[in-house]
Formats: sequence, structure tokens, C-alpha cells
Amino acid sequence: MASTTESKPTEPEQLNANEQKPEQKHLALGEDDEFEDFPIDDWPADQTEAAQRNGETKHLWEESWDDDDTSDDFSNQLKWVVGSLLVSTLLLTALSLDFRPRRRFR
Amino acid sequence: MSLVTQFLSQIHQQVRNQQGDLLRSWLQVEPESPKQYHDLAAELRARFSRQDAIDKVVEDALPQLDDLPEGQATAWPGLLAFLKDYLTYWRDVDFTDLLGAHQLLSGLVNSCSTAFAHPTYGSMLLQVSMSLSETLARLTMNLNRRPDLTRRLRVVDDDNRKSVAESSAEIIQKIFTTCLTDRTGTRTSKPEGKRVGVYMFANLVLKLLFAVCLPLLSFALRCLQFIPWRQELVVLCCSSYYDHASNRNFTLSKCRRTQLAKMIFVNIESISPPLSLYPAAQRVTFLYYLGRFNFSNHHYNRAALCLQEAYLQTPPPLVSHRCNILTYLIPSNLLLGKFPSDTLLSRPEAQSLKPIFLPMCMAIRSGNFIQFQSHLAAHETWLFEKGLLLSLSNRLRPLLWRSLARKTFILTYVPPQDASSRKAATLDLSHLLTVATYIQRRLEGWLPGNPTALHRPSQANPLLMQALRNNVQPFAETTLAPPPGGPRKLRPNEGLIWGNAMVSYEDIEMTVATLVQQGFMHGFIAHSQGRFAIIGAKAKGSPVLAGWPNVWQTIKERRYEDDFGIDQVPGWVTL
Repeated sequence: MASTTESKPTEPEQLNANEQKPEQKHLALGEDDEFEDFPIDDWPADQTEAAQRNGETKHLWEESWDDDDTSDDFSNQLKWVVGSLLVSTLLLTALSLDFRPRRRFR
Repeated sequence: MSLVTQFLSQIHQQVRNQQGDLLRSWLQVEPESPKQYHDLAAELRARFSRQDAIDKVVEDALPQLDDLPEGQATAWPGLLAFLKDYLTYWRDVDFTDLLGAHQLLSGLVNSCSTAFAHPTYGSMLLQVSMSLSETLARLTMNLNRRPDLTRRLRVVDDDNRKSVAESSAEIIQKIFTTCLTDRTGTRTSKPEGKRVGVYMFANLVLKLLFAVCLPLLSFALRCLQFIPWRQELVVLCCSSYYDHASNRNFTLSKCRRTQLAKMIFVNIESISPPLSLYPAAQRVTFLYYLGRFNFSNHHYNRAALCLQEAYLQTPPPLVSHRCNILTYLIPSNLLLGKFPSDTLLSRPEAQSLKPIFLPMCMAIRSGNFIQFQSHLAAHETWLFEKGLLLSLSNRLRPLLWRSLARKTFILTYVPPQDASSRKAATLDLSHLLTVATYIQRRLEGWLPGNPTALHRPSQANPLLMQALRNNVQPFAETTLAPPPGGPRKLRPNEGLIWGNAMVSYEDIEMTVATLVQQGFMHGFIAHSQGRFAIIGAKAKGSPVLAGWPNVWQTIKERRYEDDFGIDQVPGWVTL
């Protein structure tokens, strides 16, 4: 009937073996949608990033990302648009001005 | 001696000695089980076709004893019922009939959960319960990918209809509750007895609840291609991630899935031992699902906290797990104003995600709605199936508007000649309106009217020449040419405000006011002058720095109610 050998508790060596052959495949989108069960149940903390740098993650994220560049294509488009508006407004103002001499009441 | 009797005699011995691991390896249910199990099934079909025959053989083989030597256990009624169901399962199961097999296995796991609830001896069935639940979950997932089969389960009464996944999740949840309410040890002591299984079973239920959403969403996406008001359906469908179409008219109702997941987290929060006392695989899996739950409920900071910890606790060689975690961690942080660094994006697990999220970050940085919308459209299906589309397409808009206002200010602001001037730096809202109108036109398919000029902005006064040539017409007509086939029909989330609605001055004023209220722009609106005035430019050293504070710092420093801790995640029990 079923095997009667007890399953051995997970040894840290198993993960080391895993580490030597890292899972190299780069997943394409849509593949492997589910969060699969882990190959082992437990592993020591020193094999994770949580134990390194005291869990510091600042190197993984950028908090200051504002873009001051005004020479890219999008900025040039906006410059053009705003510039057109300014010129249009100026011309409209100029053309609407009445330069004729005013009549005086006698 | 018949095979059935031999089998039961072994089980009896294992029960007597409380050998949970042996019970697990003997009580197999998979079609790939060794030949002996199929022989056992044949014998059951030949000699035990009547239920009373099975009942008798089980009761004879496993007597319920009163006087027991120290350390030994006896059978109990729940166990006998479970074993009767086990033999019935092997007698009746037909592995080519997935629905029938699921029904039989559901009954078996249900009776296992009842046996497991026995206060004294139930814990010997912990491993059996886990192995049977895992098989049930696997079978359920397979069934879930076969709508042709599950359709047959539909009944007339829509209100009481449960999906296959929901009913499986509910059965496994009973085992989870038994584990959670076990009184062995204290809350913070090393888990013993049934409490060992708290997070194992919670994870299994959560896996089922999250996995079943995907086919539903794919189905909804397919429907959207045929329904004119499809955007509204997207909004309804996505805003309640767990919602499902409950009748033929696609009326979406809150379903049990939300409640079931919520119930698990609430129960864990109330009485579960700390997560840190459990093995790493269980910790990471639980945090992954807790993160996804919070993301679905728009708690992006909580989601980021859970997913970040899950990511950090997963060893780097486990690339696919880290990739799955990043799929939700990157958008959570994006929504909080934290972008993935080059270091993160160069890692193996980020390679498939980089083409999705990097252009998105670039579009947000420059306030480029045109690039943002076209990128969303290119990856719409994937984002939708992951449950990310609605959050990203709607909730990143404030950041895009912030960047657009900032860029418009940089392009139009002229500092005063007099350095000692006390005049506040301002952004003319009509400039922002002009820019927004231009973007809306581009989204509708209008083309730049003089594309060569666009690439030669340094030429002598092209603006004036162009304006004069067009005899002072409205700017959109001077800079853009109408699309040949007419404006593109935009869905509500594809337009700057709402579909093809033109951007008005009121829209701009309201958007800026909202950004000020959210803290993403620092200053006030001078309504009568139609300007946004920046406060504190001198103190910060620059009107741009003062007017557009750091997004993440702003979110972090917002005032919250006293009992709300920004770093607290309900359901994540810590020591």
C-alpha cells in the first residue's frame, strides 16, 4: 500500500541546492498566473533580503522622480501650444483695440 | 483477508498510535495513487456495492473502546463516518467525470473536517486534512478552467448559487476555523496541535478565492467587446474585485467571496498566533494574499507593506514567486508615489514587468496623458486580468495632473525681474486649460498641424508666423488638424475628464483644487484671477519645490484619525 517512509523535515541544504541552480527562466506575461506552492516549507532568514541591510529597501524605490526636463518631445509640444495661445491672445487684443481718433463734444 | 479489511486494519493501528503522517500517506485520493488503491476500488465495487456493507466493515474494523492504555487513541464516530465516506469515494469515483469526482471529494473533505474537530483525537488528522484539502483545491482549480462543465451546475435560484470554488473554499474554511479555535497553548506560544494549521488552511482558502476571480474577469472582458456601455461594466466589475455576474442581465452583486476573505482576516486578527511563528513559505503566501486583498480594497499602503515583506522574505532564486509579488507591489507603490528603481527593474523577476511599468512611470513623470493612455490600451487585457486596470487608470490620474500642472508652470513661469519682489509665483489656469485641451484633442486622434515646426522650436519666431498665417483662430485649430475619420470615440476612462467631454475651465479649477486638497500642490486658487498661487516659495528656495511637494512624503505626512496607524495592517498579527 502506501509508502511508510516518513517525509524528512526540510533541510537548509535543500535551499542551498536550489540557490546553486537559480530559477533562470524569465516569465512571459500571462504565464504562471497563480502563486504556486513553495518547493520547501521553511528557509533561514539569512537567505533572504529581509535579513540584509536590516530590511532597508530605499535602493529599490525612487521617491523623488519629478521631471524638470523641458527639451523632450512632449515638452516641445506643450511649449508650442502655450506659445500659440500667447501669440493669439496678444494679436486678438491688438486687433480689438480702436486706434481711431475720438470725437470731441463741441 | 480482503484488501478492504487489510487496509482498515492498518488504519486502525495508525489511529491507535496516533500516527498522523502515516494516516496521510495511506489515505490517498489522487487518480495517480498506486495500483493497490485501484484494486481496492475494484473490490469495493464488487463486494461492497451496498452502503450498509461498507458501514459494517468499517465499524467492525475500528471499534470504539473506552479503556485505553496511556498514549493510545481509539476511533470516534466522526472518524468512522469519514472512513465510510473514504471507501465510498474509492468505490464510486470516476476520474473522467470531474464534476462527479469533485462532488465526492467535497463530501469526503467535509466529513474529514467533522472528524478533525474532535477535541481529543482530531489533531491526528491534521496532515490528512491538509493533503485532502490540497487535492480538493487542485481539482477545483482544474474545474474552474472548464466553464463547459461548471455551467451544468447552475441552478434556477441565482441568489443561492455557489460556484464550485466557493463551495470548496467554504469546506476548507471549516477546517481553518477548527485550527484557529483550538485552545492548545497560549496565543503567543509556539503553535501546537491544530493551531499549526492556521495559516496553511487560510492560504488554501485564499488561493481558491483569488484564483476564481480570474476566469470571471476574463469572461467580463470578453463581454465588454459586445456591450456598448462596456465601460460602466468595467467600472462595476473592477471596483468590486470579488463581485460576480449573478444573473443573465449582468447585475453585479456583492458576493460571498469578499465576505469569506474578510472573515478569514478578521478571525486571524482576533485570535490567531503571530505570523512570525510560522514557517517562511506560509508567511510569504499569507502576506501575498493579504496584500492582494488590500490592493483590491484600495488600501495601497497596507498592500505595499504586506507585499514588500513577502518580497523581502522570499529567497532571490524563487524568481516566479518574486515576480508574482512584484506584479502587485510595483503598482501599489506607484499609487503611493514610489517608482521602481533601476536596481529593482534590472532583477530577473522584474524582466517581464519592466515593459509594463517603466513607460507608465515615464508618462507620470512628465504628465504625458497621451503616452499613458496609449500604454494602458496596449496592455489593457493583461492589466484587467490582473485586477490592476481600474486602479491604475483612475487612481494614477492625480499624479499625472500634478506633473502636467508642474510642467506647465515650468514652461510658462517668468520669474520677477526684481529679486526682492514679494509677489507670489502663480500658475495661470488658462495655460493649464490650453494644454489640457490640446491633450484631449490628441487623445481624440487630432494630429499636430505642423509637425515639422514642432521639431524646430528654436526657429525664428515660428509661433508668431503660424498664428498670423491662421489669422488668429482658436489655438487647437492652428496647432492641430482634425482626424480624417472624425474624432475617436473615447470610453470614459480614455478621456481627460470623461470620454469625449471637452475640458472646461471649471474642470481645471476643480482638478487643481483637488490636488491642493490632497496635498499634491501647495498653495491656493485665486479664483478671481484664475490663477494657482504658490505658498512658501522663498522658504523652499524655488516655487516648483514649494508648489509641488514630494508625493510619497505628502501621503506619509497626511493627518489621519487618531486610531488609524498608517503602518498597521489588520490581519497581520505581530508579536
